[in-house]
Amino acid sequence: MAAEEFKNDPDYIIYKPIIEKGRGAYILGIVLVSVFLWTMYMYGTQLIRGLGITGLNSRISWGFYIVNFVFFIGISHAGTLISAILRLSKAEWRRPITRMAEVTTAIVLAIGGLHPIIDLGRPDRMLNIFFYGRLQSPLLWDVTAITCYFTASTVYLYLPMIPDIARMRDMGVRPHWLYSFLSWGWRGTPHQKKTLDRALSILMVLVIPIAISVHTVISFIFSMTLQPGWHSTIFGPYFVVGAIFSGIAALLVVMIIFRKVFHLEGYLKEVHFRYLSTLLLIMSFLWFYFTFSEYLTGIYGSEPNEMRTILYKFTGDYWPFFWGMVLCNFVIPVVILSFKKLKTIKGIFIASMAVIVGMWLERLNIIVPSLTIPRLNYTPQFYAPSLVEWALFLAGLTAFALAFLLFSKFFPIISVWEIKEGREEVMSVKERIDGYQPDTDIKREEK
Amino acid sequence: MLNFHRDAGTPPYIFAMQILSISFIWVFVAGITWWIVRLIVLSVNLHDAPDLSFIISIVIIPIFFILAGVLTYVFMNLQRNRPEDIDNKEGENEADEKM
Repeated sequence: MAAEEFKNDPDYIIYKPIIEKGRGAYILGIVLVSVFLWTMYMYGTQLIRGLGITGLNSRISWGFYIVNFVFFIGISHAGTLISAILRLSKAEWRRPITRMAEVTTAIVLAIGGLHPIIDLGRPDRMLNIFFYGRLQSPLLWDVTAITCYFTASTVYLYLPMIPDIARMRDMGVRPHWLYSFLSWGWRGTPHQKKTLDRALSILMVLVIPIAISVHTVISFIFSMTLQPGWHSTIFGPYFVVGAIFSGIAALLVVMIIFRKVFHLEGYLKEVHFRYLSTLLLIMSFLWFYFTFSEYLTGIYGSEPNEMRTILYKFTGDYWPFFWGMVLCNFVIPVVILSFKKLKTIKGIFIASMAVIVGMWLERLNIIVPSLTIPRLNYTPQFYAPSLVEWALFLAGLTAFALAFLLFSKFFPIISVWEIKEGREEVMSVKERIDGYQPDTDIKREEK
Repeated sequence: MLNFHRDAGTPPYIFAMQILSISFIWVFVAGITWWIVRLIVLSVNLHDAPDLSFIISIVIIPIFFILAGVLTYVFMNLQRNRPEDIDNKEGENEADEKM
């Protein structure tokens, strides 16, 4: 019944994955759940046997788990920040991409936030933060900042979903109680629209500084120490730039996959990819500028401990990761995105995937080599992740895919009401653009 | 004074769940506030960077209150049935039917 009525909707294709649950989704779901269960079994072995089964050791106490923590939190900057900036600047092309961006944020924040608990070895030790926490520790700043960002992002994701959820409730989509509960009595009255507009205006202003502060605070867990390779004043903005960079890349990958799988070519047009990939290119240059500044100041200072760390990164055991990072974060995206011929959807996908890999390598390069070089007279230790660590990295990626799949089967992946609003507001947008233009002589005389 | 009551189309048990979720948000915010205040008291007692602790709490606590406030504001206003809105909506529906 609901399907019949929905088929008359011009935006039916967005609702289609919710109404018509194909066999493919179930198969993918089963595969993802199976992989996830296996990774949880591996986590179980870590719980029983302790952190000794990981590659971590007495000197390199932060490895894959913290790398993944910083990486996932960085990806989370895709959504809420970009969505809020685009909404605030009234960029009309934002409409089909904001929902995907916001979902990405909420999911990866939840995944990233769990990694420090995995790194603790014994998850019950997390309770120590509540009972014996000290606000002077940057680690505790992280806990508060991430909790705050997660709360804000979830609210910012949920509120613009209300009109779409209410539409599904009205069309009798199951589970009806869920849509009824989440729609909060929305009927689309002018008063309700005004309320939602007001709430979103507050949130989009609030979310931007929160997002920026979160990754700055994450950089503080490194830069507040006197560790060579970490103690840097530019780590805050450097981390924020890296986070936005990897976030845009992740958003582009998600958009390309959903466009292909759900046949959303009519919504996610080439212009969206062109705009976002230009932003990715700018961020690539910005990332290179920060990386260059970071290493140049270190090399120019020539402080022996700092130099040992830098040279170890350039030529030591981890040199493939360092130069791989430069290749993936700068060379590949700049080459692909600078030339119109290469800047196709396929090219953008390759560039974005390269940036995601490159940014993961960047997190690895920041964390591991700095710990490898001791300042006291110890022999350097090498860190190689064990199967458990790889499995839990896979757990993060699987959880991301699974959560996105689940979301797309219950809620529209594109904000339908915003698309409809965009169509209705074409005239007002034209007036707004006319308002930006310099006055002509006739208009001046009229005034 | 806000004229807050259940929307006619919302079943009572759903409305109860919605009230519960809003209450949970306030319990969550109150819990975080209590925790941070406790941390400040500890830093003051130990004379261990209390100024820093104050600065962090001054930023964090209001943000949580704003978020909970925004959610409550939206929830209460969506549940509000204003007569002029109902008339407008009915008018719109009639116009749609005529078309």
